Amino acid sequence: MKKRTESTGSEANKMGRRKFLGNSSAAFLGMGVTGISTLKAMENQPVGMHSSDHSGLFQERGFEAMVQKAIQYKKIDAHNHTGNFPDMIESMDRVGIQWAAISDLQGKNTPENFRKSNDVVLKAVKQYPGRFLGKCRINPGYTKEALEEIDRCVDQGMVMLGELYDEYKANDPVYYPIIERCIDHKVPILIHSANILGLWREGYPKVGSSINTSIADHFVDIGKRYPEALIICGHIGGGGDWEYVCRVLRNAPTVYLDTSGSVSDEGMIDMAVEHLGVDRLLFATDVNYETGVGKIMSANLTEKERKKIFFENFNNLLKPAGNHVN
Amino acid sequence: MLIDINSYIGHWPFRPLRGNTLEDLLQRMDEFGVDKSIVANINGIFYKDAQGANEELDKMVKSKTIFQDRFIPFATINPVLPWWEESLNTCHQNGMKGIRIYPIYHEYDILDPRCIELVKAARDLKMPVSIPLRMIDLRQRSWLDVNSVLDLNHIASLVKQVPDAQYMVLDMRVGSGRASTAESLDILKIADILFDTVRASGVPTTGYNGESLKGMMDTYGPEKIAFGTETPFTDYCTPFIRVAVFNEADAGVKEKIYSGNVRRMLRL
Repeated sequence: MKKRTESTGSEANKMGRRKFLGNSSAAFLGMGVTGISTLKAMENQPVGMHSSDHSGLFQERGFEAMVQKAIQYKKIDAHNHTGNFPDMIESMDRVGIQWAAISDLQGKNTPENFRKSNDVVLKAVKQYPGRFLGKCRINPGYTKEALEEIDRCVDQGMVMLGELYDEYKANDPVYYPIIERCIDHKVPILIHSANILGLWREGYPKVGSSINTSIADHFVDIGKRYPEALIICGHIGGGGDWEYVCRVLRNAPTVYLDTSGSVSDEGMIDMAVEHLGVDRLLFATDVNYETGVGKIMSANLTEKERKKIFFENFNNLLKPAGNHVN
Repeated sequence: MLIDINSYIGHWPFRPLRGNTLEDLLQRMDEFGVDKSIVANINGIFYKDAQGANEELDKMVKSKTIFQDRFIPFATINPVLPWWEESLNTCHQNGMKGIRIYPIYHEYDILDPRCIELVKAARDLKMPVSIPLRMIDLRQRSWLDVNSVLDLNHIASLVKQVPDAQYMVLDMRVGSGRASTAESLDILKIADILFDTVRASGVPTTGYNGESLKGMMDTYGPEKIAFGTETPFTDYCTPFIRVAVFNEADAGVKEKIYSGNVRRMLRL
């Protein structure tokens, strides 16, 4: 399999960073330089909002140092989708995301449409080298067509499956051959989840979710059946009860959790770290760029842990199939 | 100068919060360079008599000189309580600069005559009325929590009744909570109103909820946008990143967002 380089992405990111810095002060630049040396010195010290390294002195426009530091981390967005690609790249650049794993969710999830979706993604990956990683869309209900499509997409360089939506719960047997094929290809599979009250407790509204939307319990089941699979539970912050997710996914030690979603409640990532450990968390945005980055910056993590979540953990999942980036 | 128009202290009954004291909030403000924060006491949502929460906040703010310099306390007023007017006047005399109302949590219609009277009274005292569209994302609500949110049509309907009051819309939703009628939009455009930035994205591509700082600016103008964090509910980094990467705003517009607009409203 191909080993990717990120030279193009890195250059584009630098351009984006320059644009960003163009709006800022010289003092801001100075803070950025200091930040780099601080990064090395404090590799194993917690640096989030609740670490003990705060001076207690008022720092004029102190947030700018945090933003600059946030942009500097190397990042792969494990959960993103298609859209206006130039706007997406501009958005990625502004928050320092080099790579985004994208899938297309347009149209009813029929074999004809999921093939079209995957063609859109394959085209974007080629058109914007070094910025996007392809994710394959299938509907597990069409077993034969789905398996053929997985083979086609992986052969053409897609790095994983997902986001598989809510046609079926993650523990539904229709997933078995799909997951087995992913195991064969050594690629991850990302499945949508939303732990909304009405999905795990009778008598409450499901707030826009389907009855087949996966909740954390379903990931526990499928994780137990296929411990060797690289299964990712979608978006801790995608709506739903993230405390529920953290508690229940303790029982799925082989399942990963992406950090995306519009919800960026304080303490969310810290709780995920406490219950699941840093190594199972994958930085992602699901098109929410600032919350994606901000929630990781706010968490009480060491530099090493931040780097793992922003980049290394997901990149490690891409390694078995040789799809990792440098 | 940087002013946060949307912060809280106090307890939330449905999950633990951190950074929810004046001491903690001040530490954050120092680190991030926030000069002042408008702060209300969450407990006022849940106490039967919200005035108890206002008294707690008043005592806390007055316990240290630096708190008085850095915090702008807003009173929580529940107009359903027969003594709301007395509470409002007490808070005003104690130096509180504005009010927060919670029609859904306090179970009254935003057009309830008592609410309209409260807003008129706040107007007469030159106290802005701040209204959170919601406190949580309903997708993650507790079974004990409320099950609806306000939108900008609700806000516009209140503004229509008291057009000369001053308003702050918190947890501003420009996606699902947008003003969906031309009348609402027209009312909000000419109102003396500020929308906070906590939910709006500064990058060109917006997510599921469709929030966009550029959309807010294009719709309502830069004079109606003010920086807010919604701390301690939302992580304290995201709101800063949103505005920092909003490259479509020049330095002058950012100054208005960071403090200029709210300084004008509060006459600071």
